[in-house]
Amino acid sequence: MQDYFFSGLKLILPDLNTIKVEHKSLEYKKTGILILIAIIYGATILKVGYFLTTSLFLFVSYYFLGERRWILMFLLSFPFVAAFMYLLHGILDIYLRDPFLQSIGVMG
Amino acid sequence: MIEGILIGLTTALTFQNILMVMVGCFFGTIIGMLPGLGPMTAIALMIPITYGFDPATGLILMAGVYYGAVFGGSTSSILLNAPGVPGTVATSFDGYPMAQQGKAGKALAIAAWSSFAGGTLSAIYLLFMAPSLSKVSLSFRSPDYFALMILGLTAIAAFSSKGQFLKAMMMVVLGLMLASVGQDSLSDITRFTFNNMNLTDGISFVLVVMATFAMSEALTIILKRNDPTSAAKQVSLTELGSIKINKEERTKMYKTIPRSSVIGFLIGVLPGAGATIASFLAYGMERNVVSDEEKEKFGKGSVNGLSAPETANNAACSGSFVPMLTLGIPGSGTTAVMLGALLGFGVQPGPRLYMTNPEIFWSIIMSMYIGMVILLILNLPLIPYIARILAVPKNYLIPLILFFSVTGIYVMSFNNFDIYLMIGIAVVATFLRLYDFPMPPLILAFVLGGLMEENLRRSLLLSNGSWEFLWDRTLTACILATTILIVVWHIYKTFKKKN
Repeated sequence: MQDYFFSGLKLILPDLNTIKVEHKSLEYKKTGILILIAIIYGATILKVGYFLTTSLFLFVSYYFLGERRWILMFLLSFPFVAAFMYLLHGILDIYLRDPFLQSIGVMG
Repeated sequence: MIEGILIGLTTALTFQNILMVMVGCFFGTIIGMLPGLGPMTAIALMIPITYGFDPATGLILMAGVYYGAVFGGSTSSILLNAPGVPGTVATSFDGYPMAQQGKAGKALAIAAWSSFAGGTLSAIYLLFMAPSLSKVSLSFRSPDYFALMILGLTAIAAFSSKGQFLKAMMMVVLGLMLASVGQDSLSDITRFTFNNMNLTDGISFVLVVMATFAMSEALTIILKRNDPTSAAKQVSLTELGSIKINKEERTKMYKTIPRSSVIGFLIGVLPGAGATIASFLAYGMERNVVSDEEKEKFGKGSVNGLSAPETANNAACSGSFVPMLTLGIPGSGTTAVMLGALLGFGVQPGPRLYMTNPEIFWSIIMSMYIGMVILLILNLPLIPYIARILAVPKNYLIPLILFFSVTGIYVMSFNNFDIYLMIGIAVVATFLRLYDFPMPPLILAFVLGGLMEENLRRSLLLSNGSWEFLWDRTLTACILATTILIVVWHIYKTFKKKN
């Protein structure tokens, strides 16, 4: 029954532009690694804390995507996240959980 | 109405809110300018920031981001011939040739002035139309709302699908399925949760938007990094030329702007249509109206050809707020994101918003206009500097987008499961994008899913389980007839094209 239904639909509403995906030219490996890093980031963000995991996530991702300008990579991770945290937590009063910063006494 | 405008002005003109419009326009422009990222991503990324504000301020920020992103999209269309969003494709027809002729600055200025004029005129239309439509929409009942939502979903599928109506409809169904996860509002039974406590409250709207737009767009950019077709051909970003518009060009724009703004606004009001169709229609109409001599210039850097789609594009953006604010039914993907954000603030848009929260209603309309002014003041002189942002390397851009997406979910739920779920949905969405499945229908269906079910069940309760409510009222029947017409017309068009 379903087969007839879907074949019918396909007949009434044909695709005008058939898509051909060139799998060979796609960067599966890099995308996969990035997804993996994001999963690790998601798994550790609550336990370790926002600041450290986010900064590391950004730094490692820049590296895996082929970036090697170390100073810029650093500036756009640790100080950048600190500034962003200050904006969210300090100015906009949005709670951010960070056991790491709490343990070293930076965050109340 | 005067009283309403004053309420709106007092809310919108506070220091904080003006600052928000400025910040919104600025960030919107930057995000919208980056190829591949459009207004929906820009708004989605801003959602976590708006948590700290009251609803009016939050929405004002989002309206600023929206307009900024639309303007930013035009910039990348003109300079790179790489439209960030479908709505600015028509802009590149004449904008890019102009930039190639060394008149990039002028093209950007024409685009900025046309957007401004289009936005201003449509904000005026909105001012007059929204209150009266609010009054009319008070006569809407559950069956009408249900029918209207069906119409909205069908229309967005028909208009956004680029010849792939079936795929768009599949995305609508997927959106409705995702919306049905969690506790049922009437009987408290949990559905499709697989006994997972984290799914009892359903899937968060922010999560779905972040996953299907921001995150999957970032992943798609990485995935297609070596794709030769996506490599942008670049106009020199340092030598943009003068941004002055001469008298002859101004005269041309005076004629183009009013007619294109009307088309843009009316198309924007229709559910599902939006900026893309508006800009193409305005471009097409302009080509038919101008003199033969000017017609020759179309596609080679015509002022009319650039001004018309830009005006219509921005006018349609304002127009799309009409159904969202007055009926509570978003007509486009972007307004769907805004509706989701409004619901998150505890504000229920619809005809009653006009009465219960006039300050929100009017301040959004007023802030749209203020946004236009700020966009012009802020962006026009900054164009040469803003253009350099286009050179941001993807190595930095992609991790930053992922970081914003994860932060958005993290500050909302403090839950690992939500982050995993978002990554999962983003991976699926990336593959769907690869095969050209459109995402806006999914978002619209996801936002409307709950409301649609509620209205359907209420209608069924009132009619004792009979489906007669679908044709009992003339209004319901008319809306459903329009829906059927759209589908039939679309099938006819598809067959005509195929043969």
